[in-house]
Amino acid sequence: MIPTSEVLIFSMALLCIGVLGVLTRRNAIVILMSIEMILNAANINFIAFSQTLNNLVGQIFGVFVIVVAAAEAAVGLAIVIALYRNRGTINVDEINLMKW
Amino acid sequence: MMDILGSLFSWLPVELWIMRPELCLTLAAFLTLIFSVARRAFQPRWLGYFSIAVTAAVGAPLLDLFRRTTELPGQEFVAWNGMFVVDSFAVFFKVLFLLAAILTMLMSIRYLDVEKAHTGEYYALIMFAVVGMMFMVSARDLILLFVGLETMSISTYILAGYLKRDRRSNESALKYFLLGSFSTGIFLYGISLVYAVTGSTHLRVISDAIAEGLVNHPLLVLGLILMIVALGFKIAAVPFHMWVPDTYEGAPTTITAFFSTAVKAAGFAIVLRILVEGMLSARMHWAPLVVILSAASMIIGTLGALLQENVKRLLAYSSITHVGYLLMGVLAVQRGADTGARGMVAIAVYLLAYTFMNMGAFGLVVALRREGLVGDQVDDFTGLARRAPLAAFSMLVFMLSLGGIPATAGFIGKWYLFGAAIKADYVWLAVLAVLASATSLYYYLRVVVRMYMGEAEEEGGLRPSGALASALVISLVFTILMGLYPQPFIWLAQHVVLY
Repeated sequence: MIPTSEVLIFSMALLCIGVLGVLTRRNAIVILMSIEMILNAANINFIAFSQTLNNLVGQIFGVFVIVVAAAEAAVGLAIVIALYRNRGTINVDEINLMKW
Repeated sequence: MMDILGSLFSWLPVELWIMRPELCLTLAAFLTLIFSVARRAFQPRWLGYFSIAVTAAVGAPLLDLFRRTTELPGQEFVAWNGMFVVDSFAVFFKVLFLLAAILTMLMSIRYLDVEKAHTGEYYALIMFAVVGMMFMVSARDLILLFVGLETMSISTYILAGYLKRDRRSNESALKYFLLGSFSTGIFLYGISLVYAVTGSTHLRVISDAIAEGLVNHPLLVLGLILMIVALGFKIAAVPFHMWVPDTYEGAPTTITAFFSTAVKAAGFAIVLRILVEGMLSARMHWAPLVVILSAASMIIGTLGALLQENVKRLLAYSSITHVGYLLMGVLAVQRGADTGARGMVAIAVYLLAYTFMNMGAFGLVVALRREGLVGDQVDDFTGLARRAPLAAFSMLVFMLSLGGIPATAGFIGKWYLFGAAIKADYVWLAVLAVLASATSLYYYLRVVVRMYMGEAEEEGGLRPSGALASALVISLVFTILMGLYPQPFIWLAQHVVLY
């Protein structure tokens, strides 16, 4: 069995990749994918610790996260499509009608 | 009324019986969705009135629950193995959400006609968001809290982009969605670390585990920090505030009003639940972070608002400043039972006052909206006093109240909050808050000066719809009443205590 510490390192690496993706990528869909990666990093933690702690709560939480992530992706893609229809771009640098 | 509704639900098992406000609202939201399919038979306007009526009627079971939970101190009803709890804390916030939702819907009816985007789904989404908030404040388990939070967030992402042909609304929704779901991810990762250390997602179990010596576990501290960062995004505290001005400016004005009152109050409710009920023993780790968030929010919010020419943006920055004040209340919650209750009561009083005055201020922006005029520039208020003296007077009251002038609701709120901060030995923070609120008078009064000193470019008064006028009157009456005779409101807020 893979030791929990290694799973934790893996999930932290996923978290870091996701955060970097959100901060550096400029395509709205890629940002959305990076956010999904952060959610999955949390899921990996939940599942791994559910195993080590011998407690089912983590797995249940994982299922809820998957459901919520699906709903969120649906709404997110709808917003991106509405934006693309009006502006013809999904580059977040060009989405700057409002600035202080 | 109360008895009829009570007997209507008496057959329910007790677990569902304490959830009847949520159940009624969910049912009403689904009915609204179904009716809105038949546009010819059910005009959206009538769906709006239906939603307002249902939301107001849900107040009856809530008042019943309020009576039952306040009979004894610490009285509470739990369901689902302690996941869902109805205590006076939760009931107070639920009443606040209903109030904000009703005012929002009243303001929306004419506004959506002008925007040519009137559909029943709008009201259903507001009700779904309120259901999410209600589950959030009643959650004593992080799973339920997360699901409630997301029910609210997903509904509000859609509402921010509701005007789908308006580019600014699209942009507002995208920014809100990306940063909101990013913070959700961070929040989840924080929860997963806390779960890893404590082996539970139940706040009481987490609290016990922390008290038994896990308090300095590095993973727990990291998880706590990540959760505070995510909550900072949700309540819009500096440095996690970048999305606020853009989202508030671009979203439909009525929805901006809803964001700045109900969504913010829900955020504070879960901040209190998590930090006070779950993480009280780890206070030395989170208090310094909250101090930084509070001070930075007051400074950046005040500076940002100084030069805004757009009223919605000005109110967005002012709401960031108000988050800074409210976070002082979170800090004051600690240090013994007595001061603890004081911080909590201060937050409740302030949120109550803030709901009325901010709803009113946004209501005036809605009233200025008509064909060909967005009405969200400070210049649009020029000379309003001559065109519509009553509207100008109510804007004057809301602005003075937001600035914290005595004899208005805002003063009572600030009095309690600043007092709580001083009692909890955060004197320098309270001094900063007083300085910030003195500076904030400048930008609130700028609007007032334009209204009373400027010359109007056009003639004719405002003709708000009856619903909008009643929302404004409710906000105005409560803002003044709370300033002159605050006792009943303070009595209400005194029940907001977590045991």
